[in-house]
Amino acid sequence: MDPEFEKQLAAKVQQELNLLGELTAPPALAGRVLRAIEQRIAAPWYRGAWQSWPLAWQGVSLVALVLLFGGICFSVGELSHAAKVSHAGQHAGEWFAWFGVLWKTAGVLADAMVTAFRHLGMGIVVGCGLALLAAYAACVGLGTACVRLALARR
Amino acid sequence: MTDAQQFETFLHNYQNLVFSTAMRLLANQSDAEDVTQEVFLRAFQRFADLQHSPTVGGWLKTVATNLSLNHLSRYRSRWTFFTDLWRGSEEDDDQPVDFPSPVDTEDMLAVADRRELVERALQSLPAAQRVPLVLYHLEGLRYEEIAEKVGISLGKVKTDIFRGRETLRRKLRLKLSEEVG
Repeated sequence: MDPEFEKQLAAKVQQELNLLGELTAPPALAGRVLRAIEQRIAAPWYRGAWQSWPLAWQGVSLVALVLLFGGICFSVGELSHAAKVSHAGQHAGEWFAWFGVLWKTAGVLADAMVTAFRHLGMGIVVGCGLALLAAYAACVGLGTACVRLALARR
Repeated sequence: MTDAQQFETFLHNYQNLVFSTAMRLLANQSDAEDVTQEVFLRAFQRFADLQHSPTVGGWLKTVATNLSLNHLSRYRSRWTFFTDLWRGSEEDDDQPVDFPSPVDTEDMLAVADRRELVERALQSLPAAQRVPLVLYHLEGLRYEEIAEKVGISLGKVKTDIFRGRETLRRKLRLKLSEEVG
């Protein structure tokens, strides 16, 4: 890049852009902003950001959260040490059994895939992979095109 | 005058400034209106401090710039791949078919028309060129500040600004002094 050319170009572009004044906002914009502000004022305080809550409610919510967290920690500790944990343990066991079934199914599927890959050969596996990638790229491309079209300048 | 009336006056005084800042960065009227609305919602929350501040214009511009850049970055990761693919064809598409010749432009177009022309050329630039160019030439930011704000390297900022200027030069058929002679 020629520094002299660059300098001249920068000056020329600056000169052109200096011509630009402020754009005129659409006439309906002010009304829209004022309506949004009215809605925000009319909304109950608890729907706003936590920082904008009344100070007393900030304090109350903070204490409640700390108590809740402490309570959960305490309960978990107590449950794990209590002798009568067996009933709760049964429930937990049922949940873990459910996850165990899922895990086993995933394992069987993975084994089936490995076996299929071994029998099909590398070419077909790579072909399937490429086809999947192409399908994914087509989906992303179409999605991007639709979003660009939807948000295109009117 | 009540607070509501004062804010309405404030809004009418500054809406063009905020809208222009957002529009030139986003090049999309609907997005620029959303950003303008958000800027004034934030201004309303701090109106007691802002209304007598001498730097209120700067504050509004900064917030509008930051919100516009946030808006752009929200979509950037999703679009980068395909935008980069399309950018090549956009850069090739520099034919200023709807622009009059420079001689005619100098002679015949009024200043308002020239502004319109420059505005359209600016908004037709790809975002990667337009954003750093606007931040540099219109918002007065330095290269380092732009790199930090946009989250790209200093070298890329310089390259994108140079490309943006080049594209504008071709679109507006600007003549530099060495080319004139």
